[in-house]
Amino acid sequence: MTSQSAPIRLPPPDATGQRPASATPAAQPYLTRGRMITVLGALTAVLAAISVLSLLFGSVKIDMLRALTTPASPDHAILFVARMPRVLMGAVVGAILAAVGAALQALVRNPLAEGGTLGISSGAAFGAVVALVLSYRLGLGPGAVPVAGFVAALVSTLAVYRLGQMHGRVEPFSLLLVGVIFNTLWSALILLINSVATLYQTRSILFWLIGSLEAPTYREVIAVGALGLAGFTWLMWHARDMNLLSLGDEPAHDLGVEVDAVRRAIFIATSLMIGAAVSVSGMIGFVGLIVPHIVRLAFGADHRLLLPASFLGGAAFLVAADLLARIVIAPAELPVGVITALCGGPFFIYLLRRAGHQGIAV
Amino acid sequence: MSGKQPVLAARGVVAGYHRRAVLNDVSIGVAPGELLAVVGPNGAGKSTLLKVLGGAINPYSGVVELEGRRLSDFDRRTVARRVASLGQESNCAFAFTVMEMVLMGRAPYLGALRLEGEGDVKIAREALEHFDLLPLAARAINELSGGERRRVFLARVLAQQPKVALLDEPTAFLDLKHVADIFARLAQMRHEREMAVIATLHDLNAAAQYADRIALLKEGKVVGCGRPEEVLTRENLRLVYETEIYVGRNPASGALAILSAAH
Repeated sequence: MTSQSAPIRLPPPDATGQRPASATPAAQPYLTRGRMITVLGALTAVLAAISVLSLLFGSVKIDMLRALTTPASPDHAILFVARMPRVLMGAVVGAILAAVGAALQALVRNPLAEGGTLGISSGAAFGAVVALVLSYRLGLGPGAVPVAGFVAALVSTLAVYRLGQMHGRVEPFSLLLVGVIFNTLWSALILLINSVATLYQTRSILFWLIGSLEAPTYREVIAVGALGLAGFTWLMWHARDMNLLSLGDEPAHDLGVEVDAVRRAIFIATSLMIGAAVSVSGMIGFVGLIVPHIVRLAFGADHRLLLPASFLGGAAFLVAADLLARIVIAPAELPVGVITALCGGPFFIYLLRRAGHQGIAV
Repeated sequence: MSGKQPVLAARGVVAGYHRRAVLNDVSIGVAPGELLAVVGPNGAGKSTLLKVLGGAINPYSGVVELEGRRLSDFDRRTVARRVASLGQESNCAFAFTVMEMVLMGRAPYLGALRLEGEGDVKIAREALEHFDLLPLAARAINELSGGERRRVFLARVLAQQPKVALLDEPTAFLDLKHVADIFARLAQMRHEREMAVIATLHDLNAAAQYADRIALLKEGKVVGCGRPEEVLTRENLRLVYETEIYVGRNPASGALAILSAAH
């Protein structure tokens, strides 16, 4: 065949079927090792830079030299007791939320899906609040909160997924509606519990509903980080399956995917990750929507890059949003969920309208 | 079946959805290199038959055999290296490039964390070239027209290098030139790689022109199966389609020409 008349997007050697020797990896219309290394390397650098900035700046000014050299100084305490765990937790939670968003979008074949819009985060928050009240009354251990968050997230995911189906098919539009309704229901239940049980010693209701990174401990960072990494690894194992799943259940099956097994893995891994993240930071919305979308636009739709790039990009995004939350009305602070919701709301509407234009069934 | 062992066969298959049988006691098979067209009116069970043959739905009774063994005894990836399906899918929620879509046909050959290697890229490029898609390789799938997308999905089936291709209306959305091209490509694959093809076709003339054998379905039963001129008779077609039909010869190609003769 020839390609003189057609618009040529490829370097000419491609058109003859030979391997292009000169083309750069980034120019290839498919995922290459080179693109993965470049993108993930660059995102790691961005995350590192934003993290350093977040340690340098905050609602109060500190002397970095004194903080690093004088362990007894207040500067040292602010850097290592307040800022460092908060930056680390922001990275962990942002990474989790964004990677989960990308995986859920593949599962339901809809770029508008994420923990928040599907009502899974609020389910996890409800579970965590119940566990907090009970642990205060019954003396359960600290592990009860993330476990309850995980269980409630899983129940919520399965319920939304089931109820969003019509005649055995996932209907993207009804799925989103069911998710939105669940979100409202869970939030109402959280308010209800808050009214009947005064949450002494627990975080404020606003914390759960808006989401905040205030005052995490290193212990929490390590626990949530470990769960997040475990869930992420599990998702990565199925990254290519997610590519195939986004074609539809039947094509995925025909291409060798054990569809039910992969779906189960995504359900459990994402619930585990959301349960862990929400139990320490409440419902931080829209990270899972914004980050995968930008990553997809910039680096392509292949989940083998989309998942890790969202993981790193989500970390960088939430750390940056939290930095903004800490300095924008300094010396007071905003909950970071306010920032993500303010960015995310308009973004959601933009995506919804764009999807409508492209004829994607939303 | 031209004397050869069938590579894929249904034997006494009863299958359907929600406990309601759509196919009743269907037995057909396809030999290596053969093109079997499945024709019949809407609702005759053509697509269901392809889904049963591909393992997407399990028969209530009867068996599907791949290379003489029960299909259900194979694991999914092993089946996917032998049987490729083109369903009714027409779009994708995400903006994969055409090249990425075709490379997905290589998935059954790759371990969980492996990227496609040079060999896979070469196979995908050849498949793209087969369907005149190389200039579109970098385009997003959801920017293409319906006919272009159809060719991309067909290229994916080729990249899968199956022993049997199950094609549900492969020529839907395509103009005459591309229909002819696609059957020419399929013929090439059948001769070079002994790939068998089972295709459902609405277009009886295309079926008569390109198929080695034709299975005529009505209400989930095989009414006739054999060479086009044996199966596509005026009597058979009148029985199955419940309308008057003219069967003649195309003066240009000599193939059967089938027209509606209803007033």
